[in-house]
Amino acid sequence: MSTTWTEPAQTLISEATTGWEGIWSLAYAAGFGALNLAMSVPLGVGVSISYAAMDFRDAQDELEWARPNLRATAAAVRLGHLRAIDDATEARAILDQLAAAALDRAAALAEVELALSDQAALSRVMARLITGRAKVTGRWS
Amino acid sequence: MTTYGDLIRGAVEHTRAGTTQLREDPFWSAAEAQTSLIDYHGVLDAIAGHARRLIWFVRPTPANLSRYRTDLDPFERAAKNLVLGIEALVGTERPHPSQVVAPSTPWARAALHLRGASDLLATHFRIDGEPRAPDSEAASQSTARRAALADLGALTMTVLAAEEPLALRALQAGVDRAAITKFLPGLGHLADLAARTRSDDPALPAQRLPLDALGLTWTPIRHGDPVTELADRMRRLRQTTFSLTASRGDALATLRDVTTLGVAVHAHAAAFHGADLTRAARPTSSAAGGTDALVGRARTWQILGRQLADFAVLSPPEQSVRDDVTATTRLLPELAALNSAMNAALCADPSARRIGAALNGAVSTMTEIGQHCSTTFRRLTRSGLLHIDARAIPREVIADNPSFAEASLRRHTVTAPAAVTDRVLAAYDVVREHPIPSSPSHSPIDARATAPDYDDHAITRRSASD
Repeated sequence: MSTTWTEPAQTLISEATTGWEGIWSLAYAAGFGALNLAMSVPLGVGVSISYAAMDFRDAQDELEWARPNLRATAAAVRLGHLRAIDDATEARAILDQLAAAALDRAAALAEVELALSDQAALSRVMARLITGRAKVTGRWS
Repeated sequence: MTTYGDLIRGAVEHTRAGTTQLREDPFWSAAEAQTSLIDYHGVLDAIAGHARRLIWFVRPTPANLSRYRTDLDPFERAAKNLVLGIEALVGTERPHPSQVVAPSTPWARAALHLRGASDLLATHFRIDGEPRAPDSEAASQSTARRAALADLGALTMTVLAAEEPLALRALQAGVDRAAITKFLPGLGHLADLAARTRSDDPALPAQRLPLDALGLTWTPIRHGDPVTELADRMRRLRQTTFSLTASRGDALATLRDVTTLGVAVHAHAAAFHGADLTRAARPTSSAAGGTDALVGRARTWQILGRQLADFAVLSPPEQSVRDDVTATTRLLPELAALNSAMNAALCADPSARRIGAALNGAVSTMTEIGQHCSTTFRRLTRSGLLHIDARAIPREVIADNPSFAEASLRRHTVTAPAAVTDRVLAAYDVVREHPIPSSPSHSPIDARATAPDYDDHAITRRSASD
């Protein structure tokens, strides 16, 4: 099963760079996707997705505060509104994949970025992505 | 952070505005004049309450002051007599009638500031009277209280000086003479009492300092009981968002996080009241009532969160609310599950009633938080701190502005245009009102409806404009 999100998301996951820009692009897409999804689904489901959106966006903020130029240099892909509410399950999986891809890249980057401030920023980014994934997939509570 | 000194200065400012208004403007109607008369009593009531707080600094004050303290110095005795004199005039009904509706006159706003100052002092002491912080102890010293009483005496005299002009304007507006006499029977004796608390001691400014700089104290969150913890966290969130209104920094990250809380609080409150939240999203009328109103408000907070996401956050927040938001989202499912189809509000179980009260209180607090966030967002629009990715600007706005079109092509961030910020402000205008409006018949004073359209949130507005 595929949604309007499937193709752009898979392209982003495969083509996003391994550096700060790639993580930002993935977190950005996950954040906006979660916001749009939360507004499309019944409120009972949308609440936990709103929590996930907050985490993804907080991760994006952390990246921008560490690298202020990211907004101008990184690819910004927006996942728009879903075509059908029935796509919600698939959409949640896509958001999870985007966050997982960002998390993998952040973990790899933390191996090479040795400055303490960068380490701290990446740690906070990873923390937000981990909790965001749990919320978007319903494994939070 | 708003300090005791800020609140007292606010009270003085609004008292001056009240007096000035009497000099220049007659009332438009008898109803408006009656409102002012009630609010005038309200400010006197607030003065009495504040004097009580200062005389009996540590503990809540009983009706009969002398039963608790017999060691009052001459100034405190004068203040005590002033309190008793004012109460004989305005009564001891709680809440005072002027407090039941939103403030619409300078007198009411002065009272609001004074009551705020009293509440601020109250936060500095535990229920057993022990100070919560070193600042609390310094501020409770007799010299600081003495200076504060002297200031309050001067403020009281300023308020009382407006008695005759107020009576004159009320008479000119057509208020019944008997009614005026009932409200303003001649308050010279109170002015005499207030004069005894005044002082021209040159040491007063220095003695006033510990109180002047006193802000709200840190209050711990009570864990263990979700209902109590929810109330504590919501209160702290309200305080934090209020502080943002006067902050100079970029508060956008905090405003965004708050929207998540808005969604959660209204969704769980709706679930508690029996809403079926598994239904597909559908538009909710602005006139919807009951659970539909709560669901609609949750959706508005979602829209607000989506709108705020377009703005770039230039720096980390000075005051993060993330801890409280996260904890609150953990507490809410313990109180009302989102997938519950039962209307727990109809249960006779006392614990369900307690939970219902906590959730309804959280909804009310979110309204106040919405007001504070709205004020903060307005400040950001004025400060030029709102930047947006040019690609996120609506097409119709870009079409009218070539510079936006160019910025969009170059992927630049630009100062947010008014067309974008106005949409956010419109959403804030919704969330700053309670989702379930109170019936007009609850208003005890119909005259309020004809009163001038002042900003209802005087403290917020003043702080934001500082």
